[in-house]
Amino acid sequence: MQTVLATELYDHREDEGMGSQAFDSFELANLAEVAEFKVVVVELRGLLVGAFGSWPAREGSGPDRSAGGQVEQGG
Amino acid sequence: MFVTLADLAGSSNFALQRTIPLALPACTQSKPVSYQHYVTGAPMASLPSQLEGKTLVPLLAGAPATGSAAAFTIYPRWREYDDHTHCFKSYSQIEAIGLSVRTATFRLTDWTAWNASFNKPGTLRSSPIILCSNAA
Repeated sequence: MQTVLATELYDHREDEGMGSQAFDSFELANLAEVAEFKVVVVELRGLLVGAFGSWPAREGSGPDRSAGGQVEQGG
Repeated sequence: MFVTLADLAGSSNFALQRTIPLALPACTQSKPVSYQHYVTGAPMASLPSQLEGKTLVPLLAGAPATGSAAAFTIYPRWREYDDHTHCFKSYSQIEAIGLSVRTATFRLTDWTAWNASFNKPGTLRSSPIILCSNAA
C-alpha cells in the first residue's frame, strides 16, 4: 500500500442520502484514530489496496491544456 | 430528480464527489462532466474516453443492484493551489493524493504521498496520523 500521510474516517450509518443534512451532517468528526473504529479502518483500507494497490505508472507530465476546455466549477 | 452542480455550491469536494461520483473524473484527466450529462448521455453514445466506471442508468431505472458495494474516488492536492486551476498543473507538483472508499456506512480516505517520477502514489508505508477533526 502507499505511504499514508493522513487518514480520514467518517460515519455515514445514519445517512439516508436525502435532504441537505446528507451533505453537511456526516463528515464532522474524523474517527480514524478512535479505537472502536480501528476494525473499520482496516477493512476499508483493504478495499483501497484492492482498488489502488496496482496503480500503473503513466507517461506524461500533466493534462494536455490544448485538448480540454475550462472546468465548470470551483471547489 | 437530478442534483445539479449549482445545488451543491458550498459543499465539500468530497460531498460533490460522493453525490456525482461518476460525473467528475479524476481531476488530472479532463474536463468535469455533469451528472445529468452523464446519466442522460451515457446510454445514447459511448462514454468519453476519460471516464471510467459503469453507467448507473439501469439502476435508476429499477434494475437490481449488482457488483461492488463500494465507490472509489481519487482526489489530488497540488502544492500552492486549492482551486480548479490546479487541474492544469503538472503532475510533478502534486503534493498528496487522496484515495477514498465510500461504503453504505463509512467513508475512508487515505492521503498518500505522490511519486512524481512514476506518476503514481508512493510505495512505502508509514503510520497514519490524524488529519483533523471538525467536531465541536
